[in-house]
Amino acid sequence: MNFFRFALKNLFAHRTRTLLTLVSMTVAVAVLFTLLSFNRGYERGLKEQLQAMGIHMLVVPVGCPYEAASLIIKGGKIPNFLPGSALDEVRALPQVDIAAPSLMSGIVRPEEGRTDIYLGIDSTTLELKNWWKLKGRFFEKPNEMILGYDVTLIELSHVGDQIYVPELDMTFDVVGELEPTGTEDDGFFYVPLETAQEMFLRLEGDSGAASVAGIDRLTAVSIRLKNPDDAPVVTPRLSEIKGAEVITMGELLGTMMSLMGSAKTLLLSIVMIIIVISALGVLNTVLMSVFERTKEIGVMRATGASELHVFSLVWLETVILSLLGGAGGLGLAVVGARAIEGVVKRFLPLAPKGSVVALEPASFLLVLAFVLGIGLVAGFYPALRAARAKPIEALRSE
Amino acid sequence: MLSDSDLVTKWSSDQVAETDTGVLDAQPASPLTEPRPLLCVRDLWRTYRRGSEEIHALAGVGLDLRPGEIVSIVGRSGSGKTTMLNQVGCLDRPSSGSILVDGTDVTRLREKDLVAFRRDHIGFIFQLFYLIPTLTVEENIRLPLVFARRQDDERVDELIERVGLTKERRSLPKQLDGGAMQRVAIARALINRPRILLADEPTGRLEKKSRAAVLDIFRELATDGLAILMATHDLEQAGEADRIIEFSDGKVVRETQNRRK
Ligand SMILES: Nc1ncnc2c1ncn2[C@@H]1O[C@H](COP(=O)(O)OP(=O)(O)OP(=O)(O)O)[C@@H](O)[C@H]1O
Ligand SMILES: [Mg+2]
Repeated sequence: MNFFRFALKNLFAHRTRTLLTLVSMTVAVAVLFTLLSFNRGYERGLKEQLQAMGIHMLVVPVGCPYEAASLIIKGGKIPNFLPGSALDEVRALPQVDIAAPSLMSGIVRPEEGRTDIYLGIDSTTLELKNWWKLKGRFFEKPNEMILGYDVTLIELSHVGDQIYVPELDMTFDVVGELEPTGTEDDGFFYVPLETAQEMFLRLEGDSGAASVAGIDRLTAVSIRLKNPDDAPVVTPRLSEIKGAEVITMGELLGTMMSLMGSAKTLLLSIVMIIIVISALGVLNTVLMSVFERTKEIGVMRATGASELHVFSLVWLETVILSLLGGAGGLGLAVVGARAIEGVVKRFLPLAPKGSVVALEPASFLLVLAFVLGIGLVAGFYPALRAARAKPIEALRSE
Repeated sequence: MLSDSDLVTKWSSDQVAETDTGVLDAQPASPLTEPRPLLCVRDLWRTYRRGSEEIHALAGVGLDLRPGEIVSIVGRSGSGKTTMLNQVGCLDRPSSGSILVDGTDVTRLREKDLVAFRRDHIGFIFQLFYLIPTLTVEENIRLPLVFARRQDDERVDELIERVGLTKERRSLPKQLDGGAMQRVAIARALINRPRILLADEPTGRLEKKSRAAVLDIFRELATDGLAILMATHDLEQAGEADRIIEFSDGKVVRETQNRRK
């Protein structure tokens, strides 16, 4: 027999109490770990997504929020446009490899509860997004259309079908469809850039923004550099373009992270509270068992245990309890990651598609260290109480 | 609860009975062969303060205990018996006086040396046994070895056999009767080979048969040289001792040597 076994036996003397403490600890740790993993996974997911896009910077109209797509979904209108000449200015820079213009707009379909987003592009986008797998072909004529993967599911339309847009009284031939990309690209209707420029000018009549830039207008130019390291050189040059703003991918990442920052803070503070409560539960459990064992502790002292022995024993019990809870929580998190992810995702805006829970060893260690810390802190007081108890007092109280 | 006079009369009648039967006369001791005392207590005081009131739980007690000797402390409740054992057992510190255990004045030991000293020289048993309920008989007996960082399987086996618990070795305390529990406590107290055993009302909660068994074990242990100091209300048990010391208000008021020593 050794100290460790002794501590274990003490813990299991009160199965129910120990178990309840363990459950609360387990849940707290599972949530903490999932949140941590989620956070890392989310960041990683975004980075990978941006990396994969091969887009190093974006030129957008001044004042255009990055989340143009979500703005449109919510029924908003993009306030400003870039003039078509901006594209030429971008292309004039020697560091630029590919510059792909696009025009984004939406048609609200209240009766169907959604907004169809149209993206006008030309073949440079195909070059830029070289990971796109296109079934069918790219546009050759106006009034042709390519559908994102999700759109094919919603519209139940495929290559060879026609799509009629009553608002514009226009009929499009579906010439291509995208295989799933796992990005927001899946949700767009793609049309030739000129077609988009023309149809949305018609849709808006001559109201506001349309008249400013005329027909030749863009909502963004996506840029790939020959060498990504040139970004600091290129950025100021692009900023000189009239009415344009430059967003680098680093900034983009920052914006998206901060967008979910407040939601994350809220979640984290809730988790912290849960953890403090479960630490108090551990403290309570161990303290109660110390009180109950006053006599036993007294007799241990009378049979050769030092204060340090008693202290270590009680401390060890707390640490074991916490670590068991921690291990249980990690186990639960790994097993239930998908389920928990679903819940957490609902709280966070702009969650990337696919799995964003990254089960990294670093988070494992972090959580274990955290739980160990809790055990050490929560166990200190009961251990001190137990060690300080005078054996004769302990044995006297009948 | 017994009154003082009951105590004295009953105890004397026990003594008479002993003398009559002569059962315990086997080992007559001569003053010349008497070994050096293991325990010498001199002018021991322990004063408790309760508000402005001072309680002299011990008021100048002196006592010797030799190897192989069994000494009973009797006296009515509150007379200081437990206090005396706690001082000798280094569980508490006296207000003044000296306690020499095997030549060491334990009143002068520092707290940290005291732990080791207590562990190696003194065994303690109590009226309520105080076994650890989650540990088996064997584990309870072994526990002081864990604190001492010793491994002494032989001693464990020897003691288990000696207190007659070979079959109950893997039982939990709650599966045992009081007598067996006290025998576990005795084995636990002796695992680190102390030379003095302190017993506070060791048979107070036991029925007659178990009481006799515990006393038999005491007698056997004393034959091997263990010195036993026990506080008791049990006059029959007190009568089994080699010497009986009566406490009253923290003082020794009478000391009686049984004839066989
Ligand atoms: N920690 C303490 N604080 C105050 N007074 C105490 C303390 N311990 C013991 N006493 C007092 O000292 C006196 C002696 O107590 P002690 O427990 O030694 O008596 P006892 O002979 O063992 O009695 P009993 O037969 O009931 O066990 C009593 O008056 C008791 O109230
Ligand atoms: Mg007492």
